[in-house]
Amino acid sequence: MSSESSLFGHRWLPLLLVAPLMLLIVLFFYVPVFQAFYWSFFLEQPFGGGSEFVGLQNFRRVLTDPEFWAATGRTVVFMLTASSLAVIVPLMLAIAADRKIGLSYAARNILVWPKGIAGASIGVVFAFIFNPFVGLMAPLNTLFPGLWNPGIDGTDAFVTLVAAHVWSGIPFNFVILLAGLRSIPPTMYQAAAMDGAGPWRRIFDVQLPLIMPQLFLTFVLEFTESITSVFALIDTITGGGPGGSTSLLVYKIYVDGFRGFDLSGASTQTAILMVFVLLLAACQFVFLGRRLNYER
Amino acid sequence: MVENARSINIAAGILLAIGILYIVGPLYLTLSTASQSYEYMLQNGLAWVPGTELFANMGKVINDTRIPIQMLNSMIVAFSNALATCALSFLSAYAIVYFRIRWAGVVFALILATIMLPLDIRVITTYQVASNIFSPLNAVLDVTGLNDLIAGAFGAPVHLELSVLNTHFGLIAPLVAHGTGTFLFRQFFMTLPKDLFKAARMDGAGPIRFLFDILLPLARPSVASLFVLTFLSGWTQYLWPLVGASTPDMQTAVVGLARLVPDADGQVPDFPMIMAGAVLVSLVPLTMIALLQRFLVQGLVLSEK
Amino acid sequence: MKISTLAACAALLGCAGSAQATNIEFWYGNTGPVETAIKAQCDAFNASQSEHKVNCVGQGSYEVSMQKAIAAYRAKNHPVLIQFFDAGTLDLMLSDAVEPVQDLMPDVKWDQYIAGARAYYETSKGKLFAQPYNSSTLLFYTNKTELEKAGITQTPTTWEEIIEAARKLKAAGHACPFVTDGDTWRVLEQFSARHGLPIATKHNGYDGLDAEYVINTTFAAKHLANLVEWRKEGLVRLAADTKAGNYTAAFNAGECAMMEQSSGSYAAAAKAFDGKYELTVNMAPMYKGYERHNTFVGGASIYVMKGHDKPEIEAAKAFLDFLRKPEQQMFFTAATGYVPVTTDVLDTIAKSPDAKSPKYATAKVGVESMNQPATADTRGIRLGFYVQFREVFMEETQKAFAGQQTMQVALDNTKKRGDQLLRRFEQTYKGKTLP
Repeated sequence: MSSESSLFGHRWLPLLLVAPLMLLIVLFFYVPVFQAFYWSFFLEQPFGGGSEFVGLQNFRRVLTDPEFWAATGRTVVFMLTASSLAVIVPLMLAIAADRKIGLSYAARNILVWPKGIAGASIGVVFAFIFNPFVGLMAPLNTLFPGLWNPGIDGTDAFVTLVAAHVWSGIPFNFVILLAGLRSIPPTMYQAAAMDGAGPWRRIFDVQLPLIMPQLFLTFVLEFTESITSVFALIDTITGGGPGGSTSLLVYKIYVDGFRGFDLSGASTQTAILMVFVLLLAACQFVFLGRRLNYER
Repeated sequence: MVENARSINIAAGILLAIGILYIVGPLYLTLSTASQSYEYMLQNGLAWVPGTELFANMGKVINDTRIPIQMLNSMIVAFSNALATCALSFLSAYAIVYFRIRWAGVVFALILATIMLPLDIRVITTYQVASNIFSPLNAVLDVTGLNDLIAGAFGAPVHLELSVLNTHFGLIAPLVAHGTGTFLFRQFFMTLPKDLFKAARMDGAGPIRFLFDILLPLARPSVASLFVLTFLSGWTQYLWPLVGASTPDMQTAVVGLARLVPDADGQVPDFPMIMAGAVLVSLVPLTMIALLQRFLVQGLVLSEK
Repeated sequence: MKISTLAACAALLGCAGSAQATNIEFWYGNTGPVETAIKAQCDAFNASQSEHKVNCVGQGSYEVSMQKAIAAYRAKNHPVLIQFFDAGTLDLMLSDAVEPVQDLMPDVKWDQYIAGARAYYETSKGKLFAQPYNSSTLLFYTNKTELEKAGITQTPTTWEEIIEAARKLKAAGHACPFVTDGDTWRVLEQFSARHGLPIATKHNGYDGLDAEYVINTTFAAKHLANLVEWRKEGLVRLAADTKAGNYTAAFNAGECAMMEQSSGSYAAAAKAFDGKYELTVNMAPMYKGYERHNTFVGGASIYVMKGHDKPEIEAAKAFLDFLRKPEQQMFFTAATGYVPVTTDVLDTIAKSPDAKSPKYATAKVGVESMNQPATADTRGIRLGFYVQFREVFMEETQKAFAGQQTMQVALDNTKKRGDQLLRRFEQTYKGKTLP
């Protein structure tokens, strides 16, 4: 693209072409991002009656608030457990579906379905399926009362969230990993077979090393994804409860801002979350070089 | 080469069966519960076997709730999101790749950065902007002192107001403000041979003709993939429509579905009806996946490049 | 096209100056039967005269309505009338965004509002800020049929009697004797009010923004600790312990025998019980040895927002006048179960032939409950970021119910976190004083 003759030379046309998207992006991306950081230095009255510059006080308060750290901790735990599962489960499925067996065709088709089902829809469904009295666990609960109750026990609620998140995350990760597996040249398998590596062995000797880029990619994307997409699941399954045990950062920000009318506190937490996500993205950039890309 | 792959094939088969069960199981339970009556659910809870009430329950959803009009909203939001994203990103990627402009790199970086901070994270302040999309302009006028000049000259400072909350435009625009499409098309344009451009120039094609006659036909599969992806993403959005629309008639179907579970009106929720609602709400995107799976898979893989 | 435009212009010009209907908006948050009743009132108002037209817009919930109003006010496209819920009272009073109704309409006989309903929405000096609209209070419901089956003939009135009854019910094999959802409004606010206990210093904030929570030291702490013990014993159930997953539903379905719930739930319970069980509704239970005080008014009230011109304000006044009419209040009570809160309406009901009808059943006991002797601590709650405090309280006490911490620790934490909210609120509104 560097050759002069391969480019148009118009001055205003490209500006015109970029303008609509840039306008939307400035208005609905850069301004809100800026405003979140801006408000985090003020104490803002909800009705706009006045705001007071307080410097770093909001940050000091949020960063010394055990609740903020608890929500952050839960976010990280969720990120680690749910994201790992949301990559490992599709990985195993992709390796299985890569084999030419009867079920692979059906699997390749069916495993993409969740992509069309909104997080909130599946949240509503999972809330019902995991209901302690009418759902899947109801028979077990009659045998061992109190064994399973996401409405009382935070761990149960968390498990439900993770199960729903993994369910929703299968299509993207499955498709990416399967595409990676299928791009492995057959000669690699033959060479490994010559060396006497059986099909089980080849999973570890050939397949996993060769799809490392895809695997890493799915992990990193999944980390960012799990921070935000979980909102719909929390709002429909647990409402952040019981006892705040499923109140992850993105949900806490929503509650503080939209139900508590605490604009400064919510903005400050937004700003911190943004920095956190940007750091994640930076890691992604460093490790993946220019393979940077896409939420789903 | 013949080798014994039986054990691994059996293991793979079992694994896939479990995987399919995990995906299909909840969908089946949704459908079977949706096909039972409220009384059956009160007695037996989860329905393992399908009943005969599916259409009756769907009828309840259609007649007694706002889901139909909300599905129309979802359709408008998803379709416009897909269309606008495809069109605007195509144009900006075109400008970035095919024009000799010094600021191309900066613009691309600015667009790309949007990918890193999803809408759900910046929802608090995006809401504030949507409540008056001229607020940035007003702020600029205030800060630069222009407004003082204007106030001096015309007697009053400029203060424009336009809320896009609770409008279709307000639901759609923040979703379009996203860089994936531009990124995808840029990647695609980069893979095209340079001779294509030279040949077109030699034929005397200007930028508009080159765009419509050559690039667009070539990019059709990519456009289709992006369209499917953004349509699905628009349909399944939750947090933004939840706050961006407040009246039931403006909300999207997914939000409406979540609101079907009543808060405290003193009744066990009508789960069969809610499940029937879940089926209805998922029907459009699932049909889309069934028909256009090729583009979806291609889109997911493309976006990873 | 053009002609009709011209005609419209001409009509507008012709009308200018003469009686032209002023359109105003009224935002509310309720859904379900209450929303239906609100809409019916709007339609009735618009049909009753042609001078004003009120456009009633449902926002889905109180919180959403308030959030939207905040955004709208900042963008200066806010409605004239808006309904806000009890917990948002202080935010509104300090916002400078609303005009006190008593200033706006000095001639209205505001003292017709019963003290229990007034106190919550008036300033510390007694000026009413908002017109009470859908008012409710906490009542005690029992399933008399189930109680009698377990040999309890006298409806319990004290916590001691409730627990005694609960033990009998449990012995008779009842899985859910008493049910609550542990909601802040029910287990803390209404409990403290009727036992005459403060929730925060400075008379719950009425005397200044520098109040501090005291919930961890009052008798409410003991009661909440009792609830934990009683739940362990199987006498008290939480919403999540019930099969229905919702405590009102559990009570209405006969799964639970007793509950504390808003008067607004009466209609649904009576309907569900019809022909199956006998229902009793009484004032919420006391502990023995405590003198009964008034319960707080719950629900919401209507505020007039600033920044509108005279015709719009006139329209707003007309609509508020309309809503105060006895027949409108009676219609609203009958349709929703909310309690009428002016004395003239109560008199009208008492004299009407329907006085004994179940649709007015909660009005009598509800008003009686709100009319109990008041103290400086039972006027209402005037505390900042109170919506967030409610969330904090729920979060911490749920942990206590789940056994992760003792109730005392939960309340100590709640106080600590609540005080931080109060201090931040104080700083946010630095320089402002309570009206």
